[in-house]
Order: sequence, then structure tokens, then C-alpha cells
Amino acid sequence: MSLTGKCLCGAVSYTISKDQREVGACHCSSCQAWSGGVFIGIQAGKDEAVLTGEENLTIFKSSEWAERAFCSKCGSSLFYRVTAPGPMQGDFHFGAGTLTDWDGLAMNDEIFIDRKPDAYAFAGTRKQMTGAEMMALFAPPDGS
Amino acid sequence: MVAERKTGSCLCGLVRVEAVIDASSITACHCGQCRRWTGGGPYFSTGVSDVRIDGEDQIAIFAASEWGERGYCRSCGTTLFWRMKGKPLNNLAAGLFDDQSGLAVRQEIFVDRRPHWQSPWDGASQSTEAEEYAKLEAALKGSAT
Repeated sequence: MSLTGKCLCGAVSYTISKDQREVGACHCSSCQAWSGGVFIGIQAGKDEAVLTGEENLTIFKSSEWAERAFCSKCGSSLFYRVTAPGPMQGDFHFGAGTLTDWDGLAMNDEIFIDRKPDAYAFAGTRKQMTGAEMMALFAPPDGS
Repeated sequence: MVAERKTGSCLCGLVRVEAVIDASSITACHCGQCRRWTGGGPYFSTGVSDVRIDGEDQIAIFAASEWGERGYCRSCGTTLFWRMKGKPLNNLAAGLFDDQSGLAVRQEIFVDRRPHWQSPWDGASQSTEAEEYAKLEAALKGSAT
């Protein structure tokens, strides 16, 4: 079953072709500022998503390895996309809040947990990773 | 109430804010619009006064409803604020501030839209969608007279 989503004004929409119900929260300071709340991502490979209304997107290059796309007309945080060369290049992490249907979503991981403000915490337990653990995961093995 | 002057900015730095923020006054909003707009949610806003904004020309405004509008940075898309049309700006997104220590959620609204991975905040007031719309209607009536 595919998934659909759209921004607040509807100028940009997307379809994810795989049946994916797992989402993850990122507590990094960029996601906090960008989203204005908690950015919750749903992953799709570059060939697993189709965008409609792409001309209404503004792309902001937020780091050496990724970019963030939002709707130029309403400001909705649509997706984070990996730009760094490698197996994840082109992967989307759509803002799960833009999904049409939230039924059955499972929150399975939280990353940059050490950057989460004390003001909130999620219920339950799940896999958690610190910022250092995340960076180690993606750093080249020789450290270069 | 702990009021403190804090600084913050959007992700790209073109919009910079400085304001007195009431650190204990964060509202978490679970409404469907905030969910879409933030890409997750809830949206955290903090009560502010004596606001100074640099880079105001970078702010895009989206008319999200008949009564509300949402401000964001046109260059990087950072969520800046929600405000009532025609009213002064009295809140900013908490995520903008460099130092978020001491922030506490004190109001939680649209709680009937809260996802299952979140529990109610200890000590935060709780208000449903119907209760929020009733308040809004009263406020709109009040401004018309």
C-alpha cells in the first residue's frame, strides 16, 4: 500500500510507493529550529517517492551532506534529503506530519537524543542515538 | 514566571530575533495544521514581549485560516510564528532560541489530536479542539464589537 502526503496549502504533494509505517524523531538543533517543534521523519529511497508540484519547493542546503525542502507558498517542512555521495544519497526523510493518514504509525527511533530540550519527552521506549553516535555511523572509516 | 531576554535565529541566519521570553509559558499545539506545517509536531510556541526582529523582509506570511497566519523564513523555511490576523506578535517558535534551558510546557492544546507516542505534560493545562474553537469564537466576537 502506498502512502500520500502534502503540505499545508496543498501546492506540493507526494506519494511513497512502499508500505512504510515506521517513523523517527530527530532532536538536533537544526530540526528544532527548522520545524518549530519536533521533526519526525519517514524514510523513502530516491526511487520510492514521487513529488507533485515540485516547482513550489524551495531547497535549502543545510549542511555539507543534506538539504531541506519546504513549500514556498506555506512554509511547510516537507523533507530532509541526503546529498552526500554514498548509498543514502537521494534518500528522503519526509516530515511525517505531512502524511495524509497517521493510522498505525510507529515511532521507532529518536536521534540526537542528547540535544533534546528538557521541556519534553516521548512516552515509551525505543532505540535512541546521540549526536556523536550518529556522526560516527556516517563518518568515513579512516576518519578523513 | 521567569522572564528572560533571549536571542535566536532561523536556520540560515537571515531572520534574527531578540525578545523577552517567558520561559515557563510554552504552548504545545497538536492541531492538524501545526502537524503538517512542522513536519511532525507538536508545534512549540513561547510567549514573548518587547520583540526585535532583524531581517523582517525575509519573512513570508501564509494566511492559514480566516483568522490566523503563519510566518516562516523565505530562504530556509524555518518556522517563525503563528499569529492572529491584525494582532501584535506575542509568540515565537521556541526552537528559534539558542538557549532553550529552563523552557517548560505549560499549555497543551488540541490534545485530542495528540499522537500515541506522547503523554500529557506534567502540570500543563489541557484543552481539546472543541474547547480551543470555542475560545477562538469568543475572541473573534470580542474583536468585532
